[in-house]
Amino acid sequence: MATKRLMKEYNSIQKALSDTQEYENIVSLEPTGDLFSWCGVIRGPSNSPFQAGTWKIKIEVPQNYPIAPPKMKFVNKLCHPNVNFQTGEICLDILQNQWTPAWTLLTTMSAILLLLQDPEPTSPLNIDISNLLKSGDIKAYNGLIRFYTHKYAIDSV
Amino acid sequence: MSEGLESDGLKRDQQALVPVQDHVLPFADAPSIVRAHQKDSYFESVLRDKVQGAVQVLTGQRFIHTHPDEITVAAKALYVGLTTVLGSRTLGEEYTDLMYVTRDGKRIPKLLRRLGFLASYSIIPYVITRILRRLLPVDEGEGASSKKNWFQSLSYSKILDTLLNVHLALFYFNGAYYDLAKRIFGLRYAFGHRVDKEEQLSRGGYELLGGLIFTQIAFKAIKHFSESFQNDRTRKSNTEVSDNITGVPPSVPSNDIDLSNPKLLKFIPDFSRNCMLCLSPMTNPSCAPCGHLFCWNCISDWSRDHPECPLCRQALTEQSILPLR
Ligand SMILES: [Zn+2]
Ligand SMILES: [Zn+2]
Repeated sequence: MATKRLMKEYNSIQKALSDTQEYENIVSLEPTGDLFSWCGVIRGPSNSPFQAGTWKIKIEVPQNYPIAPPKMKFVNKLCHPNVNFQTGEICLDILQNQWTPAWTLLTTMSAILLLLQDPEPTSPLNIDISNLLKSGDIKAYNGLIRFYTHKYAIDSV
Repeated sequence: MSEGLESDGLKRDQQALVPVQDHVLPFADAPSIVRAHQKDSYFESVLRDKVQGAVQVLTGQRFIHTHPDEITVAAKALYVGLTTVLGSRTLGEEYTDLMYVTRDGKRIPKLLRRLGFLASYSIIPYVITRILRRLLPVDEGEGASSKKNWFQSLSYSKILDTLLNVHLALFYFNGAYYDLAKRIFGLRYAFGHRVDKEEQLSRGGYELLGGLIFTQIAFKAIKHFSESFQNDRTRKSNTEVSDNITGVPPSVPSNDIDLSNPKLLKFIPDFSRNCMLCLSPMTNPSCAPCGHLFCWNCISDWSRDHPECPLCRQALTEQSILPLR
């Protein structure tokens, strides 16, 4: 079932990426080698401190996909309350217990993009940037993110 | 069901009948036994429906589809267990006023015999069929061993059929045992009342039917012998050829309902014929309690770990999924 479904997803992804504005910040999403390991590239949304950055996301698809969610993590460093700065691990409910097969690899990628603009400070993986957000110091929050974006995410892909 | 009331009535009947030991009750005739049997099989099927309903509540729809034989066995055992084994009459036996007596017609069969009948009527045929199905190859065509003789080419089902036919023909002739199991355990039917000559004559008999069955068996036997004799001759000339043929696996006809075929389940509109779990046209579309449709395999895999609909998160158990047919 997994292969069949991944094949279907693969066939529709390229079309969706080129045809619709909805995925304008998803640069690419392709399998690397077989259908069970993928690589995605996202662009920082233009009205955010992530602007101008590009991040690579490594995707591992389990054999029982879509019963189990895909594993996704950032390859180059991203400063965000819900992303582990060292490992790139993402804390997003749909990648864990809120996963349903209604999500696809592509829609999950856009969920990650939404997370960039809409962080969830109650479940932080990066305590420092999360505390800035909690304290309401948006200027410092944006500044720190911009700093790391320029350090790790310009011409990174 | 009303067995409780009947058994009360029957105990009184038996008490009234048992003192009549010096003169033997008249054996029942074939037509009455057949009528009683027809009634019983009707009530058995009613009971089977009820049992199936109860099992469905407990285990879900899928079990009903995969275990129809087991449910039938359970219903049969329940019916005989609640009537014959407890010493009361079945509804069919009451209808034509029959009761069990021993082979000589002088006594009422003991509990052990009645239990034996229960087992050989319901459970044992089921077990034997299962075992033999596993032991004997099902195919009756040219199997792997091309050196079968006429005896080996007899299949289990053919033997059983012939045996049952002989038994039935005997029943039509002497009207003693309609069920093979009853013959084995010596449960013979007698009338619970006296029969006068006129009544006996007006019912007639089934001897003609018995004769027809014997003729049929005889013809089948002749045909079988002549065929296997011819096969032996042709086989001798064909052995070299057949050895060279490599086996082609027979295409298994699948019972799957594949929605990529637009003729199937037309009431499902085009835009919802794809399963959102595998993103393909559904195979064996199945309905969750919320009304969402998925492939049977897809949704049952999902429901094992996640008790909710993948689309709307409404409660969902594997038992509550309904395959559409
Ligand atoms: Zn499916
Ligand atoms: Zn639903």
